[in-house]
Amino acid sequence: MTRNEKLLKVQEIFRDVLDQPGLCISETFSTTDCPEWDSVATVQIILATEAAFDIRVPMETVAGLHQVSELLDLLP
Amino acid sequence: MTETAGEHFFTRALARARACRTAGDLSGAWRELRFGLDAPVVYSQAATAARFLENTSQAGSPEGWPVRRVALIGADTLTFLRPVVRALAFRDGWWPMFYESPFGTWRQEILEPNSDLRKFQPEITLVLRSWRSIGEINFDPLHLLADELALARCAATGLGFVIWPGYDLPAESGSLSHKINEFNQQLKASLPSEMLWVDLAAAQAGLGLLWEDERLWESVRQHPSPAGTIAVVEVWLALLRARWGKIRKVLVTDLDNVLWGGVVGEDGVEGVRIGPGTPDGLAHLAYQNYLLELKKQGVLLAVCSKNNEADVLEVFSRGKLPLRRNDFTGWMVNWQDKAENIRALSSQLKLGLDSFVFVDDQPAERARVRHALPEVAVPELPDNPAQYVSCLRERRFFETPTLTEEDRGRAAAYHASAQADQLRSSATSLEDFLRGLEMVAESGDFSEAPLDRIEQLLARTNQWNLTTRRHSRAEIVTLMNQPGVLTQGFRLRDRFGDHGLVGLWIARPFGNAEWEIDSWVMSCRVIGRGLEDLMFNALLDAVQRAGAKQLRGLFRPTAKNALVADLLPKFGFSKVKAHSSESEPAFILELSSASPRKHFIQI
Repeated sequence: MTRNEKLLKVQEIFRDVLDQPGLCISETFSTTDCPEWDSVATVQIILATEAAFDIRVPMETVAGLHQVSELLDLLP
Repeated sequence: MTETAGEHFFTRALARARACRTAGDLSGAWRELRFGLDAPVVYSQAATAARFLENTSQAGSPEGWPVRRVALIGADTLTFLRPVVRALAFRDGWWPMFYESPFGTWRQEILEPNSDLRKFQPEITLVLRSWRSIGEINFDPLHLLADELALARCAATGLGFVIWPGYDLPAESGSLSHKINEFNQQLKASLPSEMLWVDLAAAQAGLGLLWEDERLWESVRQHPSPAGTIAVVEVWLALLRARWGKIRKVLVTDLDNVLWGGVVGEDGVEGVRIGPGTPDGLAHLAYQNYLLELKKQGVLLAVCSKNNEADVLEVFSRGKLPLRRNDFTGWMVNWQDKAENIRALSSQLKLGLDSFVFVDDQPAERARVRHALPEVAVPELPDNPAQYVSCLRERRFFETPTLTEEDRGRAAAYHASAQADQLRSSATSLEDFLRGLEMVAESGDFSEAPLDRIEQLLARTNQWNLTTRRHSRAEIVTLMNQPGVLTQGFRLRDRFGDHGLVGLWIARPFGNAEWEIDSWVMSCRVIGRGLEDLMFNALLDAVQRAGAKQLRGLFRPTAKNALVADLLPKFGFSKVKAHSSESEPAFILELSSASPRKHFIQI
């Protein structure tokens, strides 16, 4: 899976979690771009990403996640 | 994580809700989402539902829905609870307006008279602390108890209805668990009586190790775990439903593949599976035992099934089932539409559709009832019968804060009432019918009656209720001790059975030589017996002896109490001009011209 394909798959997760069907995200999309991306959304995004990619996100990333690229870096 | 059928169910409903929203159909969007929440949801789904609701409700809450001001306070992060309360309250038909104390400030917020919490004037205050907040300090139970009781006493006024639970327990039992247990028991015994204590350790025990999520605690301070958060909110909402008299009272069950394994019409009377021998036989046995347990609590059981009645009766007559035909108060075994059958049960049992829970293994039957009768709760059952009971338990449909003697006797009283209905159709006149019942009433003021039942009658009676004032236990006690306030409870029995305490009124002084009817309620079990006439005579007698010249009554209309809209005029009260300050019309009865009413009940 290319990085762009991963981005598109992650974008689906963001659209669902943030309830914004038309949302487009980039690598640099971050919590400052989106006030709805709060701590509850972070937990949802991580749980959904873990299920979709069959991975386990480390504790430090859960605490510090605030930009899309940080999530993409973890994906196989 | 693999998705269960329930999760797919929610996901599909959410997709339909989003499609409705895109098409501009907001009420359709809310309806579909609400159906989706009939399945057991996981944390992420509840949070997604909440975000959907907040994004679609910019124009306000759903029209006509009760809005309640809800404060969330406590020692830990509460942010994670809020979306779950939003989603599940929506499922229950109400809309919270939230206030959340900033992290670490809940003590000041309670103690300071001008805090943001107090300015918010909550109607409901939900408190949550966990062992996490005391696990890291050298914790002294007595010290913490003194601290919490001081807070609780201060929180008892101005914060609405307060739910103040015990602490949960750490996963490994040790001296900390032991100390917390001791603390919880002491707290339970000494909390102010106006607030509600609840045992979180019980909700926790149901989840086992899933109660905690070490990673989410360490990273974002989420505790309990996502699954635990859902369980806590289910406990709170069940208490609120009980508080508002919204407890479900009837379980309507399907038969084939629900009460037993297999289809009697196809597998034959011999072929249905129940009990040991087959795995699904055990699951259905567990379900029947759960129904028996509910029946003992006072929940009414009813059958609604498409079958040949003769087959069904034969299965019951073989005596291999824990449940007997007689355990069911309602019986609809026919080939009619199930929604129509449930509607008929509702009028037979004289209970509103919002008292019903419908259990059926067929998705199409569930969808039909959900659409036709949105007031009926239709849990989305898991595919595996072994999970039926836990699915129903998790929803806490029938939970009451206290279980009274009348609850346990309810099924018997309804059976008596059904027999009385038969007598009614055979008696030639209403008067003959009432005489034939051989009714005997007993009455006395509240100090002679069980307080649990008084509280419950006020909390639960919806139809025959003049003012629908839901006095809490503390308010009842206050009223009983107020000089001049008159109270009376009424028990009724007839030749078919004892109905228990089924009616009450409260009258309080209102100016010079005038008393006002604060509350007047009667259980729907005894509607149409003339008990209201006897209660009225007792009321006249009591206020006149207290020195009243006039009796004042109010009718406060609700969605359910149209039954008593004309009661006061019928009893000789005349309408007076409403004061500008009150919306309900007031009625006055001049006692000099009042006359007692005729009835057929012995005292």
